[in-house]
Amino acid sequence: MSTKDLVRMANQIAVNQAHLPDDQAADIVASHLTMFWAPSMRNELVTAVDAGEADLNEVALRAVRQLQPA
Amino acid sequence: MTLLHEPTGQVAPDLGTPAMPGEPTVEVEIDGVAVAVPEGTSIMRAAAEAGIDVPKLCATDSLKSFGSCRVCLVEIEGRPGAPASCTTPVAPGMKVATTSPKVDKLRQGVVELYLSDHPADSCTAGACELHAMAETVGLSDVRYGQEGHNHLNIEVDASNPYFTFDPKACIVCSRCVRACDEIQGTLALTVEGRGFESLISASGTSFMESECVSCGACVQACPTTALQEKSIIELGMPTRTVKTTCAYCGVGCSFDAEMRGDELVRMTPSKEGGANEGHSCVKGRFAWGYATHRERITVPMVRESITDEWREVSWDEAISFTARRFTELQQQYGPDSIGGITSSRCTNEEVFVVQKMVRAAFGNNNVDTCARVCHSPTGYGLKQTFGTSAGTQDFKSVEDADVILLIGANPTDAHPVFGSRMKQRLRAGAELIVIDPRRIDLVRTPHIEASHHLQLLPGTNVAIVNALAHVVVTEGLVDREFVAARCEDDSFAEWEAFIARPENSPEAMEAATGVPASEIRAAARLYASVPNAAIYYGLGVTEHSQGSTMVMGMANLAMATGNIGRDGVGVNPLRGQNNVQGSCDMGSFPHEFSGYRHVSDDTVRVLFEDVWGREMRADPGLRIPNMFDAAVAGSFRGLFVQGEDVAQSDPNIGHVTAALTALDLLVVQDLFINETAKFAHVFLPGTSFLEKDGTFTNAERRINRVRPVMDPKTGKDEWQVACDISTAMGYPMGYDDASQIMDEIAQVTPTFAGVSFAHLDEAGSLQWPCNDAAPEGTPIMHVDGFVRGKGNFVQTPYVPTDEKANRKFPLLLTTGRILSQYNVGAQTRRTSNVEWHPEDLLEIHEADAAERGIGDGDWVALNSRVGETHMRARITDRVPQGVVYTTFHHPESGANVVTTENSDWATNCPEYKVTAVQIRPANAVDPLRVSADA
Repeated sequence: MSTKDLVRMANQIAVNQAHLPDDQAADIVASHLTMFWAPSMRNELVTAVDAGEADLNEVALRAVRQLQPA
Repeated sequence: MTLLHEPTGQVAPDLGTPAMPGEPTVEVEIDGVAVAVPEGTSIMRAAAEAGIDVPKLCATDSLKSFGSCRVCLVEIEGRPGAPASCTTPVAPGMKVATTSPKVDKLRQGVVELYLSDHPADSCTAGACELHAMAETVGLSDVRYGQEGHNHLNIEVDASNPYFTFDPKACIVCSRCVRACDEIQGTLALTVEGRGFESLISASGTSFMESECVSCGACVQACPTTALQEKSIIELGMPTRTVKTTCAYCGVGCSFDAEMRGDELVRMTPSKEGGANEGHSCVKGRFAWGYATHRERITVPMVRESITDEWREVSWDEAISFTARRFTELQQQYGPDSIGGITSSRCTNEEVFVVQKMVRAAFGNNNVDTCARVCHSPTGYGLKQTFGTSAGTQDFKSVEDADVILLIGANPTDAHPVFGSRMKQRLRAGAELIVIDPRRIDLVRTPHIEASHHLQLLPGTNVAIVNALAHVVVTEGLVDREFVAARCEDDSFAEWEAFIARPENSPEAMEAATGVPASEIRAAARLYASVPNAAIYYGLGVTEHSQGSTMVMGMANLAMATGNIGRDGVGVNPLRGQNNVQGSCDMGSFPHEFSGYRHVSDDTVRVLFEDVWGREMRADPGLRIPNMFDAAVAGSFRGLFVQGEDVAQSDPNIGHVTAALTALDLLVVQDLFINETAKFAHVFLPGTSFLEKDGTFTNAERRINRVRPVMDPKTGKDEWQVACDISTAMGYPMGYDDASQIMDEIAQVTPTFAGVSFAHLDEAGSLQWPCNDAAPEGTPIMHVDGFVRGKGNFVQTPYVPTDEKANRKFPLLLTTGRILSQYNVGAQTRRTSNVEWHPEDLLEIHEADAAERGIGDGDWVALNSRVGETHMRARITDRVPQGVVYTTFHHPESGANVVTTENSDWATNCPEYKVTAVQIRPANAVDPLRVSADA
């Protein structure tokens, strides 16, 4: 899948939690990605983050770093 | 015209006048037979309930009594004269004679006069109540000739494609006029002239040019052949009926399919249908001809490449080809390289076996459903707040609503039978608040005017619902007792603090929404101040980047004001297609098994593994847009599409077609070679609803039986095809009939535990949950507690969409449906409904049109950042300046060529309702309309 699309979607989820403290928001985003994203999508995003290719906002980045390898 | 001689089947008898509410406390004696009925019941109905038919012409039990024909006269002991039994209520101890020499003579005289101005040979055999009534009252001869002044030379109006109006056969009983008023609520018909000159008129014009919406209520009410279906004129009267369910919108109307031999000649709405109670719309009543359209494909076809010609093959070859190719793709690219899409047009049973095929035979969770692109935010939002993905009410509940808050829905076009029910309630005094960028008909229509129309800018729903809730919280309108008893203390406290912030006030939101703060405040006060306020919503809520947030915002509002858990209140999604609710219930989403249970739940997974004998995956699979993205990227290679036209219905068609083109195997199961099938390697012919045996579940969770009126034209039930593919792929799946599939659904789905075909046949319909706790179903949900226990308030910050108008794309496009067409039009475009809507039009405000030099009816080019399409303009004040609107029923205009990849943050439901566009004059339609890069 396109990293750009995955980043866009992850950032959008995070922006919708922006009213919450960052830690709480990141937990919610990580949970959302686990509950609703296919493992292949999560893996690609993690790989992109590890490679420094994902332009994620702060909350989304913290969330992706919480994800367990699927 | 009504059905006089009941064919085989159970057509409900006509009891003459409507039932009265209450207990049967009034005891009367009719022709010596004792009967007890509720107060206010007419003598005619009491007689009918005692098994005595009083002759009648102007009375029918779907309409208020009228008393014009004077055929139903009776004698009452101790009273003078012969009153009309339809308009005379019973009284305690009353003794009535329905026959006597006096009333017999009176009736004969009345019927004789009618017949003296009525053609003797105009009636289809058995179709005219007047001729039957002559026989009933013992009239053998008409003494008056037809040489005098009469109505026998008036022309027939055959302008409507589905029925004729022959004034010669009309007795001016006003049943049609009253049906248009009391049932449909359109008031298109009237009686023109006085006395002998009285004539039924479609307000002075032809039926086709009038306000008539062709719902068929007048035709059904007509006691003669003055209003008659053309199909009956051409094919004759039916000889038997089969009860079934409409396959159009989410109202799920019950119908009597009336057959003459093996041919369908008429569909009439069933009075005992829980969703429609005898009403219908132009689609369900008349637009069923597509099922036998010449373009229907009934033989399987395959081809190696999408550039090859199709090759007709046997079912065995098609199944083995499909199974082999899917298996090869998994061997080459891995188990997750294939998946399937289920359809909301198919039965619960057909959907269930397809998602089972994916989970058990494909061995992954790559299954999704077309609800992804319509009501998936409803599933997410209502589950977060209430605990399950379902509307809270039955349709009848609206009759107890004092205020109706209608958001992003246009029921008189998209859910017309419920729209009529809503109109009746509004005419009876309920107030209406409409939140919609476009002025829908309900804002102002005969006898109805919305108290408030919050004409917001597309994309600002959450700003509005937050502002409404802000007023409720800051002006002391919260139902504290309800919240304390029924909702979570902590989540309410956090939400209350959030929503009371100044940035959520109507004044703060005014700039974003374009709605005056005073209007929002007044609407909020109205919603919160009445005993019962009900929210109804449609895709104008869900198809946004914050669709799920908006659903939760509405749930918050309903909980905060105590508007949950009884008649007249609730949060009610109006589902688009006939089985959206059911396809979601059946486990079509990639993260959920049937009954909305997550695949990561070990207990649930073990249940399915025990019943199905295969290990289930604990991770969610790909959603539809994810499948397309993965196909373009090359990791997703094979797709099974059941009854869905993604190449027309899904957003950014350029991207969709690129994905479909990239697939190694696309299998399409449908009635017609649709836009998607043009990219397919296998075409598996599907069955129409007239051939299906199964169930649909409507927007009120009502499970209705769909019964076959003819054998499958393909030679195979649709569910059998998925079973055969699954079996050929190494996972044997088989059922003797569809009832066994429902038995399995009940076995693995707690909310369906009490559902079976036998129970449905006995009860008529059942609303889930239907189980030991609610053996006869659940019309109203969350009565004593929410499904999740306590109601959960979720904070709903307004996040503006990324799709903004700018200098290059200064207008906002929003899309919707029209009454006569249905979704991508695959069905309705193959009926005479095209006479009302032959093409999609772009509605544009006069000022925007003038600025661009566009006139009414001109061709225009519609551009967004992803594509361009062409259609004609319609200049209108329905849309405000800066907003344009179109429908998506025709592939030639292809509205979704311009819609974008933006989607709901929680569910990926596309943001169809907001697309920044520019418009310029154009010469004509561009056949190569897709100009975007995929």
